[in-house]
Amino acid sequence: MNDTHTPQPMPTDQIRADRACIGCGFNLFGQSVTKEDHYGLAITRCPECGTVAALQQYPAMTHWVNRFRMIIAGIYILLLLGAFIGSTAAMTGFAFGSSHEASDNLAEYIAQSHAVWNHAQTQPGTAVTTNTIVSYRYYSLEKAYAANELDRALDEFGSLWSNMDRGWFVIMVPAISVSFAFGVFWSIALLGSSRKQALLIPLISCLIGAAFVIGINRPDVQNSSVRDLAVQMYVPLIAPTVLLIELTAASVGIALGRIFARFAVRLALPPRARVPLSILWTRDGLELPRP
Amino acid sequence: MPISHTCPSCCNELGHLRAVPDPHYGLGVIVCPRCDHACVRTRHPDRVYWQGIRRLRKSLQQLALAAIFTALSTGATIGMTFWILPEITARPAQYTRPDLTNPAVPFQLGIACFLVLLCGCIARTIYAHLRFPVVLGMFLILIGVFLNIDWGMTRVMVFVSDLFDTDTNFFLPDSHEMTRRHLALVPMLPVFVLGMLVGTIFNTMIARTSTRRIVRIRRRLRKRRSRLD
Repeated sequence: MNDTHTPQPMPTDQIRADRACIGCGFNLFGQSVTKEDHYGLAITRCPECGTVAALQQYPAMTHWVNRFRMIIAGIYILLLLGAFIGSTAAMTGFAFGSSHEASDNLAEYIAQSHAVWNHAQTQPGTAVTTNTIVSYRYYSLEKAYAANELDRALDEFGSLWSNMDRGWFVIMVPAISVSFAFGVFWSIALLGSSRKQALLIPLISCLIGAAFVIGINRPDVQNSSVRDLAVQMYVPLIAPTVLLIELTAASVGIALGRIFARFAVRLALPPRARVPLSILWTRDGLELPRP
Repeated sequence: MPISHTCPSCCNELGHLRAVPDPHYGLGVIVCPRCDHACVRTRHPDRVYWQGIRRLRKSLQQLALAAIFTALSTGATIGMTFWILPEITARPAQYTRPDLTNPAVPFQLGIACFLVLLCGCIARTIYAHLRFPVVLGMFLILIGVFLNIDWGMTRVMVFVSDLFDTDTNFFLPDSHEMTRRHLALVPMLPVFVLGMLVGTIFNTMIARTSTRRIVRIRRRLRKRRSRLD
């Protein structure tokens, strides 16, 4: 420390460095500093906008700092919103795809029943062979068949749950993986909230997905193709089940996400570079690992 | 131009004066040359915020680079293994001597070895803060997992398919194919480890250069401080 300085003669007080006006951002360099009468505070007046600036120990920055903070926060919220829409769409897509897959057997059964009925109507008296049955899966049901035969065919098919195509279980492998990944993402992206609070996001995603899939599902016997009719019958059964499984996978992802993130940071970054990411530890009440 | 800093006592501009850390607390203290008032220069919270953002960006960048180079090293090693696969394993589970009379073959093997060496070097350089066996183990696991990823994923799908008695068809790589892959990896791994050793030497050189730089900066600071005193 320099202890040998000598007091200098009093010059006219002026700002001799950069200090932005809090009103308009004008640089107050060269402005005179005066003591105001009421409190004796050191002030200067902006020559551009006339705003009085109190001279604190360090100058106030321009409004742009707060604006940048808001812009960054806005961009982050937009990204999170996009991720939320994407995750909801993916989870709903898996629910719908699984319902589609599960309804294969029913679609095939109704198509065959429809084909047999149609054959009996058009060529009565002739025997029905498998060659004469055309795949009616993507055809619309005829009104007479829907009115007279469909209920019987559905009764003959039996339980929807026990006779479904189990291929949809295979779809669950990527569905669970993707939901788990979303859980990990939300766990890390929502560091401001606890894990229980973060769980709300996949829960809301699933509820929106369920409302969407089940809400648009209105079995219309008169206008649907056989395929669509079968899917519409399976949606209330399969979609909630799939969404529940996805929610469970996402919950596991949320529970383990921060642990994975901490492990990845410890592995990939040297101790000094971990400090800015210390929130991953401090958020859960842990201490930053020592090198 | 420095940022303005006025004396709280006499409003004198102190922005041009250097804040010297005091010996007791390490605070940047400035004594006003006009009124002898001692004040501490603290950084503005907004500047601290931006500095935090910059550091966070740097850490995330480093994390992303580590992830990218890890993926590249693993992928390139597996890619080179697949590239030389037909040259060194003509028949399943059996090595053949590479056809060195064909001018393309030694060239191909040389390129593959060089790239795998480079991958090893990169792998060691990006994980310089970890011990050698840890990095080696991590990359062995990664290469092993991704070499068998198609087989593993298909096995899971087949398992689920069998579990629920579905009739879905999957293409599963046969055991001969898997043996060929693993045998082709055998000559590549020593090259990878050699690359990691080169990377260790490279890390030592970087650390030495960095230490020299720090020593130079400290010496310069000491000189300045003595000049100020």
